[in-house]
Amino acid sequence: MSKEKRYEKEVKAFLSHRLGMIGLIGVAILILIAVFAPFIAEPVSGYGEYEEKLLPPSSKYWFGTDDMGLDLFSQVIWGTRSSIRVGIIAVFIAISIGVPVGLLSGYYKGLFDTIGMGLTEIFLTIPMLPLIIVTAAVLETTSINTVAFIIGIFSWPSIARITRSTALKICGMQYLEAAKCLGIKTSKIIFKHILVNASTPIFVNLTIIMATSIITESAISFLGLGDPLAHSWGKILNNAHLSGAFGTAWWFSLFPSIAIMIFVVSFNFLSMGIRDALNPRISRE
Amino acid sequence: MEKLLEVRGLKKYFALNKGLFSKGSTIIKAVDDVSFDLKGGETLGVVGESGSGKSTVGRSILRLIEPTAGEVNYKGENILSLKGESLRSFRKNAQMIFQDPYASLNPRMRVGDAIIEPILSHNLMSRGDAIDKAVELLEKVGLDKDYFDRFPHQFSGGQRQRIGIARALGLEPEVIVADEPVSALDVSVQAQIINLFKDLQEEFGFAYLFIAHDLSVVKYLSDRIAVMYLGEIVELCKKEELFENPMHPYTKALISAIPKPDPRIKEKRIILKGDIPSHSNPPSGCKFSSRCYCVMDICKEKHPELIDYNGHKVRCHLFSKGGENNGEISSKENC
Repeated sequence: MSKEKRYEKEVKAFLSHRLGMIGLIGVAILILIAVFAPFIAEPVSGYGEYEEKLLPPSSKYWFGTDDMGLDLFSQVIWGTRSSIRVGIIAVFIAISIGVPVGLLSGYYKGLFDTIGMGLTEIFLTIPMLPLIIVTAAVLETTSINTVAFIIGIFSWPSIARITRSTALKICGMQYLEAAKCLGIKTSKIIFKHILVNASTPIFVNLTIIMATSIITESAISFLGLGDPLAHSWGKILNNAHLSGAFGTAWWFSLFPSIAIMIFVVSFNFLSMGIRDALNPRISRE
Repeated sequence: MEKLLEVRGLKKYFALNKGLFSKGSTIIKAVDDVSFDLKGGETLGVVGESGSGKSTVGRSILRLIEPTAGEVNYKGENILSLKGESLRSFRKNAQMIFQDPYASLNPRMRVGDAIIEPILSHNLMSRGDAIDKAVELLEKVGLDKDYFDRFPHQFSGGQRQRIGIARALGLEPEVIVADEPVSALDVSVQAQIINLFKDLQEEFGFAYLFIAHDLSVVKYLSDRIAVMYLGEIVELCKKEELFENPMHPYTKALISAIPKPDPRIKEKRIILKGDIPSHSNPPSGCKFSSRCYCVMDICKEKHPELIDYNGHKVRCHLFSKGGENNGEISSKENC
């Protein structure tokens, strides 16, 4: 037996997971596009040339133009940026609420569990879209951060549930009893023993939240409730719908839809790869 | 030797809820009125069938489960009244070796970290010293010091049990509760671990509460042996006394079940009928009366007391006043 690096087996298992690697490459490309958007395409705004409206894809406009004569390629590229931003904010909020709620419920049980899981149930039963419509109406101007924040607020219950169920499972393990018997501090038990072992399912869930947050964001923008100033794939679809060009200019709705699909599929594949790689039944033979 | 641990009237009852529509709950008496002492440096073996409450006793003493009633005094201090930080700091005095070496180590924690963690948690020494100590402990329990950076899944059951022992030794405890520490291991490995237990006790001088269901394992290690049946101690005495002169019919049955290495010795094996009775509905009177081959009328009516005969404690009507032998130790065969 040689000295083994932490997660070496898991990394190997992930590298040989085909879908997981496709997901990883997809996510990497999306992040690169988001970061280097200014170098890839000029940002567009306002009105384009009247003669250039609704042009099909060409060598000048790769994805064609919209009803205002603006380059769709640029809009899709810049849309990547807002999508990743929405995803990151939503995931961040989901972790910072869901993980503590789940850990407290799962470790202390009793009153913590009743309150924590009660809140989770409440948030799971409130329909998200109508609430976002109401919030958007109340706030009048919805920024992309507000949308991300609302999505995050509604995404934490799944994290809380997964964290709780993993914490409950680990609390029944003998090594936790051993840690208690050894007199390890409660804070250390929660972080070093429970959270470390719960990190796998939490991480898998986060990539799924990332994917679903983009679907929600697109839906909100498509309904015209998103940030009117931000470039977003959902907003392009909304423009296509409002301009009545859905039927005539196929490129108008096709390219943003493909972008959404690539985003969602990449993150889902990534989560599948991580899940399979970290699943001890598969990676430990 | 001074008394390290005094256990008096320890009880652990569980309430079993019957269901949504039936009222009331059944009380399961997992441990019922158990008392014993543990002196410094000695080994007390606890044997019994599964369900006899021996693990519950071990866990109650260490406050891993809360006993319903009773007293556990460690050097005169009742540890059942400890709370919070004082309980946590008491824990360094008494440690446990667990039954399943595959479950008692955190799979995401390196072996070295697992040994250092408790030492640092009790602020016993600096991190650097703790690392030196962990390396020393690994060698003490017969492992290579290079194993420090490895994960538990890279080890066999016997090696993991050694890691568990090293982890417990790091706190320099005076009492170690070993809860069937070898029953999950191969027979050849069992012997190695048992010898390790013995060597470590000679070196460090701690006291063992050694829980097992295998009398031959306990025989090798123990100074005194307590036999448990359905949550009660039925017999408690010195090891030699127990094997030479077992008094309780249950103990006799257990001893007769030890395999003899010599096939020419033909001893009559006492076969007990039936299974251990249900905790929720134990037999009235003596709890062993439903399976006892010496059963008398009184056994089904009156619950026998644990009576001390010159240091040999036994809970049986055969020896109590008014019983068949009227307080005299039986000379009859079997009964």
